[in-house]
Amino acid sequence: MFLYSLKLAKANLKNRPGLTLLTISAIAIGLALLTTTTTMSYQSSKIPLLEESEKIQTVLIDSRDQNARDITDVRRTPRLTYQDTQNLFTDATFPVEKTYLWKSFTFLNDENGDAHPRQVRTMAGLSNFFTMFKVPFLYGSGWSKADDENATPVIVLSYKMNQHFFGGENSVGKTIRINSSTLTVVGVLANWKLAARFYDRSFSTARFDDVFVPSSLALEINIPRRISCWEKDSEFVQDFSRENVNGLKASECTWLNLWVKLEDENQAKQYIDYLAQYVSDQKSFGRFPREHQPTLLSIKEYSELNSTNNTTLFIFALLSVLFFLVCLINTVGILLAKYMGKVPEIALRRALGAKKHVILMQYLIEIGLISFIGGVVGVILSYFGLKGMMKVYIYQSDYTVTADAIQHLYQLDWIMISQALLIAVGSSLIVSLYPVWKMCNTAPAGHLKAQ
Amino acid sequence: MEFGPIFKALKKRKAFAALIILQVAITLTVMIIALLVTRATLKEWNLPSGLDHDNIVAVYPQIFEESLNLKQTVEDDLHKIKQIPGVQLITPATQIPFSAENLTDVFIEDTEKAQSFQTSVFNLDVNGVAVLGLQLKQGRHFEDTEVIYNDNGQNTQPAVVMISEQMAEALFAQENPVGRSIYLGKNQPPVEIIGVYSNFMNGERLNFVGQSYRSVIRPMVEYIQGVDPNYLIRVEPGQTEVLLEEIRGKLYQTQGRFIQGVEFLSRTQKRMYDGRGSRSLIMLAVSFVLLIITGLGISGLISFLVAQQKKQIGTRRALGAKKFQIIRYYLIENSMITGIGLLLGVILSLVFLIIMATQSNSQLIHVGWIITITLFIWLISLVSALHPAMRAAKVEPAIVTRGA
Repeated sequence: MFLYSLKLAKANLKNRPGLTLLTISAIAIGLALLTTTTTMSYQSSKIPLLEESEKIQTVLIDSRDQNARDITDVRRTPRLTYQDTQNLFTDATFPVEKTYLWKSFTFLNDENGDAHPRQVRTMAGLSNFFTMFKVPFLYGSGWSKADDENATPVIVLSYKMNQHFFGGENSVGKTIRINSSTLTVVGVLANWKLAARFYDRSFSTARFDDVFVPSSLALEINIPRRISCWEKDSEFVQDFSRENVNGLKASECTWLNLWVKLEDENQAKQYIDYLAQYVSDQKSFGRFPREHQPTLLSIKEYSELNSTNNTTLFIFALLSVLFFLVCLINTVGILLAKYMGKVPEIALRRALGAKKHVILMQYLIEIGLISFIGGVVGVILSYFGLKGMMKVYIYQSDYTVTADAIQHLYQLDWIMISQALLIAVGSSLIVSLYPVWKMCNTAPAGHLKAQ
Repeated sequence: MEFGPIFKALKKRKAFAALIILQVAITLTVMIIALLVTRATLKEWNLPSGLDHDNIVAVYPQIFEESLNLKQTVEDDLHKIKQIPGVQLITPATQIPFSAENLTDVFIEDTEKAQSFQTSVFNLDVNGVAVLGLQLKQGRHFEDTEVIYNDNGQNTQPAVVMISEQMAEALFAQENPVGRSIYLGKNQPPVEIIGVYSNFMNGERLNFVGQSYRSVIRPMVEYIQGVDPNYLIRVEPGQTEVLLEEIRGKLYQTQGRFIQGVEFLSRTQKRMYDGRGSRSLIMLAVSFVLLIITGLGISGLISFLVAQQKKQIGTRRALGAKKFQIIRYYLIENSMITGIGLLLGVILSLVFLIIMATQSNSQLIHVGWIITITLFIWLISLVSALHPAMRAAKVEPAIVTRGA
């Protein structure tokens, strides 16, 4: 019976090929846009370090002065001061895995100047950065704890920088320069597929760090720091960020990210209490003038906040959903118009004894077929749509990002493909169910008379 | 007219009416949102630059080798670049037109409550105005002796500046600015305005607030470690990428530095507008495709209605209805349906616009635009209904006499 219905449905498709083509292309175009935008937001809201994303949390404490602007968005909480980072990091009363880091731009160059120097995104942090965040290595490894303490001149290169300066060879043991200081390569990263650069709270999805150095060394060779200074310190920003390390350490300028790994909610609560205690202790030294409750934000929470606050993607997503609806209504309208002409035929079949559900089935199969073909074409179109959006992004960034750095953001996967097909077929069937049902219910007699 | 009968006829075809209403409502919503967002995005877009940007090159060198003498290096660079054939003039520059992001508060009086005028200050040497190709509108040019060179640590301020026409208007309205004094920041010494030059684009931050041409040129070159001067170069017309490569190669001859970019100002300009331009283009393309789809849909549905009502039309024609009355019938019917859809669409888009406006903190709603777009879509729906309506008018009255 099903095969018979399928045969009829297929014959029906060929009946008015122009109309069929129109409906298929309407579904395909609508779905292509929908899939393009949903894939983009799905890929860009992927959570980095997923399996640990609820455990690894960043510490947010507002140490600014009384006059500073209120924080309406928790993600805008400033980074930490050096004092707080050190106090919280070295204090052993709450034993927990933790690491801190800060960011800089430096110039990577080799002594003999064979390869052109590069301006590089630089992470200055601790040896456990690589283990805590599960960083994959191609050659060598991270530096040791002793290197943290001794400010040993060592460096870890990204895959890309190793390509540029060493042609992709194993460069462990070789030397390279940051600004005017010579460092020894101890490790080269494999292609680190991180969904977003979460650890410096930028959550950038397109630009990743090029080099990694011990924080102690970075301060010793005095690479510039990206810092924010408040009230009385603000006139020293230039000095503190480029020259005066000791002044910076003692100041209330904020520039460090502290991450802790907490096993469960219970431990997280205890840690927040511990932070609150720390803040109130510090208040007795005249610090933390603001009423402020320290908070923790896990990688997961942070990512979710980012993706729900992305206005551009929100507008595109909204428009594409509405667009798809119009295409859907259009398709169904055209199909129904076509079917209405078929009512006399239905009446005849009914009079000859065809069951209602058989006829119903036949039309639903036809709609299913059309929407499925539309879905497949739509997915293919969305592949090109995504390619196009990637080109637009690269153009927008004035070619400062390369295609392979952002490809992952514009990639269809099986989840997106099956979701698209499901939406196409499912929504078409649902929308057309009632009218088709009504059509099959018309009494045969009235139409037979006319024939 | 036939509002009554149309309304009665419509009640019998609720499904079709509902389909058209929904389609129109959603299309209108998408169009309004897309166009209003585009309008907000393209505000202050692609204004005249006031510069001969195809023939000016910007260079962004950065020195990281601490043992290099900054002053010496810059002087060598200027000398080297000037030797390259095709290069006419060169000046060191702190900021580059189209990308000036550092703003300075300028005051016309030295009091606590003085009004501040945000502006971009460009530190250039004596060639600056000529490199940018600006016209002198009032007063005079800088003289060689007025240019201040500050080597590491020195902090001498120039005594004179030049300002743009727009800046002059903002500061002194119609009064003559030449000879007046201004303050480039709180507690700064006064500087005298010696000339006014033609407007040129400063950068996105001021452009965004409609102050695209506010600028001050200060005759100063500073050699501060870490804050290297960029270069602006006037080249002969018709130069290509080859020249850029030559400049880059010359600069890389000195070890210990990184050349972040060598580009024509036209590329800097492109970068300034890119993000907005491409986003709006996508929105416009999406609305355009949607408009076509909706038009086809309405046309298809009404064609079908006409086909169904052939007999009634024939009867009406037989009873004496004129062709134009049939056409009018369908156009009025269509307008009644679309009217409801348009009303719904306006309400829906207002809801979304208000949500978006609160989310992004921007003013999106513009009544004039909403009305225009609504009328436009109504027009499109009329046009799509016209063809089937004309077909209806062609139905022969004789059709009634034929048996079924």
